[in-house]
Amino acid sequence: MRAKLFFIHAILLSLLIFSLLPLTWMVGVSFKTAKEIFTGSVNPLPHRPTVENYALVMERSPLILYFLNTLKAASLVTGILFVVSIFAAYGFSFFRFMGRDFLFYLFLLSLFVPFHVRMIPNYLLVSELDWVNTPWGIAIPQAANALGVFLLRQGMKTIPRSLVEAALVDRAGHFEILFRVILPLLKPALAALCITFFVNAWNEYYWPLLVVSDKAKYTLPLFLRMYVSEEGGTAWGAMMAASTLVSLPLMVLYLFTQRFIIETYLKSGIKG
Amino acid sequence: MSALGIRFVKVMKRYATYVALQGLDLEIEPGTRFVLLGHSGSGKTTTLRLIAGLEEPTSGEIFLGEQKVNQLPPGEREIAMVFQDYALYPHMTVEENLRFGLKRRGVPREEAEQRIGKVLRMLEIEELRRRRPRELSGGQRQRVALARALVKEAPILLLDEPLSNLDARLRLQARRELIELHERLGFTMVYVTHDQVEAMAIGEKMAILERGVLEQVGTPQELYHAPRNLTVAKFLGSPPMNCITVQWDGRGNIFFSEAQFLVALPEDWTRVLEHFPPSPLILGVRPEDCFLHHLPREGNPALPVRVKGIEDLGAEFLVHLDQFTARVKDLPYPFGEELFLSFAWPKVHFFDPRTERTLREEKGESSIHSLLSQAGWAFPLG
Amino acid sequence: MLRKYAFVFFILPAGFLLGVFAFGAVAHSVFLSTLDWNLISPEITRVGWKNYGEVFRSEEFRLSLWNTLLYSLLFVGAIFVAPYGSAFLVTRVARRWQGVYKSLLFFPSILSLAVLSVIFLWLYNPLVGPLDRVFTSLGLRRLFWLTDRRLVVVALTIVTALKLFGYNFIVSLAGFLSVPAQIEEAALLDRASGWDLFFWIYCPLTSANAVFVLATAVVVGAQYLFVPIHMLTGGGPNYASSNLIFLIYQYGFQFFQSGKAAAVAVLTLLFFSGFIVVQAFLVERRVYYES
Repeated sequence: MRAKLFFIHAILLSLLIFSLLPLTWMVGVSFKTAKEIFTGSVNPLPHRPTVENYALVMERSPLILYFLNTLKAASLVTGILFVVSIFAAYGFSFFRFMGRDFLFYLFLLSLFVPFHVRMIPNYLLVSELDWVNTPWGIAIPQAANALGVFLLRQGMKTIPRSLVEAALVDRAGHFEILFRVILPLLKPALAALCITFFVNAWNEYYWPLLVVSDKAKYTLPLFLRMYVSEEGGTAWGAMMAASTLVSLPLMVLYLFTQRFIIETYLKSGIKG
Repeated sequence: MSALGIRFVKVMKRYATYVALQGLDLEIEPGTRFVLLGHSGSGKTTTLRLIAGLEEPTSGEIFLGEQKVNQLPPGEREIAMVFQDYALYPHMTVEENLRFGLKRRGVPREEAEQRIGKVLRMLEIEELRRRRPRELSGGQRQRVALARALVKEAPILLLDEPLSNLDARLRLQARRELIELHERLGFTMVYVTHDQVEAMAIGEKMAILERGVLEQVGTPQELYHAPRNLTVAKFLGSPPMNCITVQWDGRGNIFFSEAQFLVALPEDWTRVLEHFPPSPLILGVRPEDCFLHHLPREGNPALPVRVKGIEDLGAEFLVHLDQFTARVKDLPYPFGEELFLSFAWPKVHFFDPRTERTLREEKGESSIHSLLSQAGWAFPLG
Repeated sequence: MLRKYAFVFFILPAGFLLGVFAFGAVAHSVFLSTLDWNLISPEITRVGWKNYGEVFRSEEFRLSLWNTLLYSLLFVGAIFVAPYGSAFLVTRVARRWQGVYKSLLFFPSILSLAVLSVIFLWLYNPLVGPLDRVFTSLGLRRLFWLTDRRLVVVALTIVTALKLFGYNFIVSLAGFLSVPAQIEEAALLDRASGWDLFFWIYCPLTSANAVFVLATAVVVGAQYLFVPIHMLTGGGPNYASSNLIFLIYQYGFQFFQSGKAAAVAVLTLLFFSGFIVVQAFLVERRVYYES
């Protein structure tokens, strides 16, 4: 029994090391001097920590600008998705109409259609609307996502119908029911959903790559790519510093919300 | 299947900071129907799970027969169990559910099939053989769960509130069948419930647990008529025993402070209580041991009371008085009427308010029966 | 009467977005695949199914298709079997450890694939990367992870797997945790061993969940691969690391052949359609046996 448990822990720990070691290296190398990096030490911890890599990154690129660009786009995606998902989930949960289940299945289907399959038409549409290099251009196509509708409908299913019927008897309108009765009951799911939307939009690489060509409008993932293709090669320390900076907001967010995010995911069993 | 006894020696179970069971000593004789009765959180389910091996005791020893089983995994113990939610394997048919355990116990295939057939016939659920749990009704699931336990022919059968998910009618029927099955097969049966009526109906012996402490063990009759303390007294009986604080004057009288009335105790009780200095005592009397009169009678100590409400139970009436509830067969008394209340004194209990223990015990258990047997005392005059 | 049709108002915003940017776009892709066009010029010719024929005959399509299969196979191991198995293992350890494993194993999933790609660019570097140090100090030969045509598929699978492992681990775990504890206890009383529990109780009871995770591993994995391919190899060396998703991008935005790009997009959709339909079907029924 003991031996078996030990074996299980050994497997899980090695998985843990495998998945966390790369991140340790990222942070460690970002604090190493160029000289130490080129000695090729396997030890992720810096011998003599330095912030020169961070100074270099801040000096060479308008990081604050990229940060704001990313924040703007991610907030826009999150905001739009939040509102339309709540509405649609309510529509699917508390109305009966012909073809409802079929329509919902179509929504679900869209969830799994690879984004890349729809990108050329999306690109044509966005450029037609003259949204290239704008936050709208980045955000709107990403806001065509049924994940929130699905997740919130799962949540709303757990709310007894009688609660809504009681509110109807009390002459509440749909908005009152939605905002006063239903949403307060779904607070944890709503928060987890917002975080998921935000993290996904923050990390989005592919779509901004297509619709942002103006360097001043870059988001953080695109900025990282710049390091790989143009300034990369030997500036390992700066690359890792930049990566760390890009990840920092999400790491902090995760630090404070991880228990709650994981519990919500476990209950609804949702991937973002 | 032969039966096995179960013995707990100073068993303690603690979860983090919460003590579920404190120092339990318990002996369950082979072949009895033993009921563990208690409210939720009393430790009754913990006790059952300790027998099953689903929990390990924090300290103390558990024996099944002669074997100490503290560390023995559940599959190695000579037990079968019926879970509260039945825990049928949802992806297996009824017969697969039964076969799963037999296979793992190394029962040869022919014998397994024979046993499955026998149990299904015994419980009259042969036609459900190839159904899956979700295609069964609540009552059918309960039977399948029982079948899955019985087919193992284990000497000990554990049941965790097995009837709580059934409706009232099915529950009565299942109760009778369980007793019949036990009479026929003779295994040791440990039955957990929070329902005192069920406990009394099923148990040959029962134990009452409260907050991890064993309050009393005995036959249902013993527990009902001779509760060792206030907890047991209040637990059994519906409506529960009337418990009223009275003042004992040390000289043969008790004073009902609410009614401002002094009652002289019968001589037998005076003898029991005479060692006690004047102090408050708790008087306990069951509703069926209360009697109502229109007039006080000579030589029959009675208390003036007023009728607050009446419930018609069909065969009898519950009369709610100021501090008491009486269960009577006679025609109801009008609301607000002044009446006189007397007790079947030999069946009255007195408890020490500090220890909550019965005062009769001071005289030894045997005297209770002698007290009860004095038929002349059992009924009031008139 | 108006109240009865209020649902239209609620569903319309999301429906409009999906209609235009998802369903409309897929239909539009099908249309584009029958054109010869470079996305910009006013010169557009209708060519019927010609693009499909050209795509099928091309070396890059065949290689990308083969790689997509190869990646899928590797993903099945790395981000289906591994997270599913480790989720089961996590249910076996004490509760306080479960919490630690949950939060730490999920952690890499919140990071950007761009970040992970950058990290692995360093790890895989044949001159200063730590992987090389480890391999050479063990006396093994130097590996060129990103330029060796046999290794590159594995190298990029690892980058992508690091992102998806955590998600799939949590989704698998949700499946295991949805099995009532009493079922396991009943099985323990039936003398089931750890393996018995896994194969005869948990696997059948979480099968729908498992299929969902499997489909996610394959479909989402292929999409996520785009980032490391684009950042680290550009599909090379000589299409050894390209997949169908990357090929769409390459045809469309590097070669400006929108017709071929759309044709690959349609073929990609067909390639994954089985998985997609299964996923959408299972997403709500991830646990087969609700009581």
